[in-house]
Amino acid sequence: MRRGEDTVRLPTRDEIRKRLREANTARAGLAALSAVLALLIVSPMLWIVWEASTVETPRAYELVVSSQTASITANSIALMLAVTFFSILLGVPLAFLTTRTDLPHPRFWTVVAALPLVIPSYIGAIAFVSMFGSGGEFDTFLGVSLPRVEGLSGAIFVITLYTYPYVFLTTRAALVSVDSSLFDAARTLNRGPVESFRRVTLPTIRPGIAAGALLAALYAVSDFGTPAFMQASVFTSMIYWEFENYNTPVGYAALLALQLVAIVAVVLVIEAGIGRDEDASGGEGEGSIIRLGRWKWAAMGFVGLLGVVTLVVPVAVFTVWIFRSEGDRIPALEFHPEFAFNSVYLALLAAVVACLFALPVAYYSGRANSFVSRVLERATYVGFAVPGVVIGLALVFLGLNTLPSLYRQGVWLLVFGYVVRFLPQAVGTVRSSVLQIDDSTIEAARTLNAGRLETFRRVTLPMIAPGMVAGAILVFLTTIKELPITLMVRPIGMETLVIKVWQAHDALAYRYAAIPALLLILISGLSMLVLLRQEGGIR
Amino acid sequence: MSTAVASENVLELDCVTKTYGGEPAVENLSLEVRDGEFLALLGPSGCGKTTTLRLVAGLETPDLGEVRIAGSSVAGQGKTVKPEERDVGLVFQEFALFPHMTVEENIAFGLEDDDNGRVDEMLELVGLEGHRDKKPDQLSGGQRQRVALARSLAPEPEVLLLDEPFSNLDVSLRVRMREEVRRIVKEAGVTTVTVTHDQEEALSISDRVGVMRDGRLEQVGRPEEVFQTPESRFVADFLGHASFVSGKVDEDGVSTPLGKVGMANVEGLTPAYEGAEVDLLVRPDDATALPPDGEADGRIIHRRYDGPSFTYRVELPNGDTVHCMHNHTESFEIGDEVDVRLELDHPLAWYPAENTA
Repeated sequence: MRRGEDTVRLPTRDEIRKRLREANTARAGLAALSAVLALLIVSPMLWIVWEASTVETPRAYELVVSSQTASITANSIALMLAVTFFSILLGVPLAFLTTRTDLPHPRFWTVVAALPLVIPSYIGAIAFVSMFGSGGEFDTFLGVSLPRVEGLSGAIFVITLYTYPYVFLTTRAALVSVDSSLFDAARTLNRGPVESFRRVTLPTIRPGIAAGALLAALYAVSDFGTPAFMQASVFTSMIYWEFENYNTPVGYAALLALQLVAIVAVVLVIEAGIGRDEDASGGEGEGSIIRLGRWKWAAMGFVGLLGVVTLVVPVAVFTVWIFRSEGDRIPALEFHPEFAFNSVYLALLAAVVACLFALPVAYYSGRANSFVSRVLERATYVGFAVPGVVIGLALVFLGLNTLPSLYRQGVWLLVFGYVVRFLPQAVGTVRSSVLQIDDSTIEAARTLNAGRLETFRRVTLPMIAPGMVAGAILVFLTTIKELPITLMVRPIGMETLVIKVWQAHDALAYRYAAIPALLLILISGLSMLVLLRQEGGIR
Repeated sequence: MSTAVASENVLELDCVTKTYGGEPAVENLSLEVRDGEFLALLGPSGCGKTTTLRLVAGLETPDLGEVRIAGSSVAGQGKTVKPEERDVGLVFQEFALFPHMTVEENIAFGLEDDDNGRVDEMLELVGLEGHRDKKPDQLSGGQRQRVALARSLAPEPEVLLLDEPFSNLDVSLRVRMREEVRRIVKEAGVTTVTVTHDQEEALSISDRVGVMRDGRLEQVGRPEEVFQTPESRFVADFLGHASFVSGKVDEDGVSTPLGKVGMANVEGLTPAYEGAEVDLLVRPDDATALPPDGEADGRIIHRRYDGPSFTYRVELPNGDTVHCMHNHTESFEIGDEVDVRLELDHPLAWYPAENTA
């Protein structure tokens, strides 16, 4: 357009047609790109199905109904149900304690109760198994023999300690959003405190409890490291052992993986059925709080003890090991800064690639609210539902059968695995920032004579950049702690922090796990800070 | 009501004090509410009126003093009766309807073994027979309030408490609901205490008004009594539209810039006060502005038009301002010089002069 022109020239009909055509082509291109990426993300699952289908049907049937499979299934379901049950048992009272009572310093205790969430449970597991497992440091305490922390019950114990915060946080959020005058209203309608809680408060916070319980259930059934360290035979650990023992994986692992995915699918279907109940009114009622009186010491003692067991014990255990040197030295396990460098390098790659993948998918699904865009977006969420060990196994099949040049030969297959697993985090954050862009903002840029690309570069991109950065940070922090995919797909000779923790446990030389584990705890603490900042802190 | 019971006090507060972290929210408050009476507690936010309500309901415990309901002590003297055992109904500001229950279930909540007859009765009383199976989020604001009211009335409480009952409604709905709530409450015959910061609401809905300030009860009385003869400047001010005209008491009345106001036209003034500087309370309907006859009394500095009437603010030479209300036909412009005539059809309230620098 010529400068200095006084009147705005209206676009001609041809120009409008041209713009519309451009818009359609751009959108179609975006859709095609999203579709390719979504297909890529889902592809590993197809390999599992393919591999499972190579097992002859009678043999497959025999394997699926074998007593071993039955006991694995029973163990996995028991683990999942028990962890969920105990997480509710811990999380709901803690949520109540920090929101509806006069517990001193509620913010501090909220952070203490939520903090275990950021420590990978396998880090806790290795600390507990080394101290309280068979051959551990403590068999007895003051002459009383302690129950061994190992096997299925040990896995239940440790996973509960590190997943109850899911229930705690969602229940807490529900309690905060429920108008507390509801409880008072029930009291003035001639109902006692217990009945008021049961008939009024509980039904209104039930969706919150359910949401947290499902997260805990998903975590429990997908967790690989803890059952492996505890020698518990559940799907995740058995899939890995099958893979390890036969070196060339057999169909049995694939069948187990499919069964595990089926269990996860059932949990997800239940979740979809429960849905998000949004009818809790966000009233900031100044309702009455329960006075604990002398019980507040017991309450603080309880939360404090929980904090000691979940946070202080592992850190103390690892710290003590750093200063102890007993047993034979194993040079291969000695700490080397290169391990930390490798971890950071892989996590950075994963973060960058995940963001690049997330951008078109999130942008397309955020701007074009169609059935196709929703399906494509959902497809990238596969990593949410599929346990890491299954993705690892899928990539092993892919590498062995199709891409031997990539299998354990360079970082790209591993990075792809991380992206499949953690892409949902990046898509989630990028999409929510795309959704914040108003149509009129983009239209404003266009009326100010910025072209399509220029608008994207100067308006859209700066607006979604914070979402991309947040997504990248989340992917980075979760990748660095990832165990099963790293274990199964890492290039030969590439040692990382989590690999060293694994190897130290394998060699029963726990002291070599100390430095990598402490570094991982430190990184996890950072992720808590990032999450808190993102959510504007705990209210 | 003409029975002997009618004059009995259903609710009594005796020197009740409640502090939060050393700050008194309610201080030495004594109040009696008679059977079937509708009492409004009026005051600015933070004056302790809601705390008073919660003390009566049993959601708070007084530090000192005693609360009695129907003659028996429910708080004080070292014992506290729980909210569920007090026979008190409370309608919350946000209504606090149970979101997961239907209208019918909400109303039946406080009843023993689902007394369906009582639920029907309540639905009819509040005019919601057709809505019994709806959830609270399907109702309008006015309907939610009716449900809240019906729910509190269902267990037949001795005392019904209303916490800012109309603050959550649209302005257009408020006036209608005021009358509706008063009708329902009177029909149920329940002793009621409402709490509000809206003076018009308090004056129009209640049998008696209690004005609160900083945790204390400043004055209790019939609405017209409190409005016409406020016992303090605060009460006069809070009830609205108050102007103060300063003057000096002499042997037969008060000399003011607007002329002499006779002793009989000033509430409770006697010659004993001769020589005292006083301020007379003048409300807009007590004063009229006129075209000046000779030297004017003052000048119009503000004019408000609200449909049925004009209210002029007239500044007097001594700095006092007086509001004059006129019907909409008369009109002056800002800056006009006017005389002000006091229409003394009732005695004016007065207060000792405030020494303003």
